[in-house]
Amino acid sequence: MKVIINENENNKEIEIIINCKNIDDTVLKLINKLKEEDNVITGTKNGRVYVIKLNSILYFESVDKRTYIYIKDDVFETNLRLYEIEEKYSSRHFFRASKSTIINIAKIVVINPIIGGKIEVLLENKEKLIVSRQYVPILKAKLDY
Amino acid sequence: MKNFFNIGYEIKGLMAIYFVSIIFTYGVVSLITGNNIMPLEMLWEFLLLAVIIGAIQIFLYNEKLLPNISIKVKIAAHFIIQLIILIFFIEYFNWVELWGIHFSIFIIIYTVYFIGITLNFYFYKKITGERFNDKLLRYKEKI
Repeated sequence: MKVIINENENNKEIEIIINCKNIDDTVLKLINKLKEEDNVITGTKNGRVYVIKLNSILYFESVDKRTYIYIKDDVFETNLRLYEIEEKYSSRHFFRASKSTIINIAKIVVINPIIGGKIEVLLENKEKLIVSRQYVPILKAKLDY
Repeated sequence: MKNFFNIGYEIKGLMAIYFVSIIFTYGVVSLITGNNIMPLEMLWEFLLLAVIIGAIQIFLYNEKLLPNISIKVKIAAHFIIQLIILIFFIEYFNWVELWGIHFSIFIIIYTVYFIGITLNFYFYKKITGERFNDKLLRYKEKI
């Protein structure tokens, strides 16, 4: 990877242009690194890269070793693993809800305890997700329960 | 496969609750009747009963399997199905003489038990749910 810095007094703001053959994992990781400070994450859909605001994300889900980002009306794929998302964003409004999901607390509408110590949460998009018994203490801690 | 294990895990949890409840009931009845022994095969029969009624409960209250049935209908169905299974077990394994005056006592005890357990679940969901949602509201206010 070649890094070229063009220092010029006429540049009003920092602009980063990535020249690459194709958008692969390295490029996506690089974009994620660059965007880390801006409360956004990149996701791909139909070969296109989208920048998604963290506060618009309902939840992350891992299916067959692929990680998906769910927003109100759309789904994107991310190259990040679920544990990486957990490490990065658990200090925000996100919490691990099961082995395959990370939920945004800010997007929960109703919390409903169910038999067996588990919890069912209703999200803003009317979708219901389950918080596994082993992850309920994490939710409790987040909510100061 | 993942769902299969999840449901299995739920059944296991309920089975444990029911098994303890059955053993507890047996213990109370034994105290009243002066019974000092419990045949080993009865332990397996109780375990089988606990698995079956646990599985039925999971099946009946699973939103994905039975999505459009009201909770009142589900509770009524639960009451009847569980009663039939219980009668079958009592008769098949010859636990007690059920018919006659005993049957009406059995129905009363079963109904009281069922209402008690249902209310227990209802208040657990209501109280815990309200507390969780109150905390959620406070959390969102801070955002």
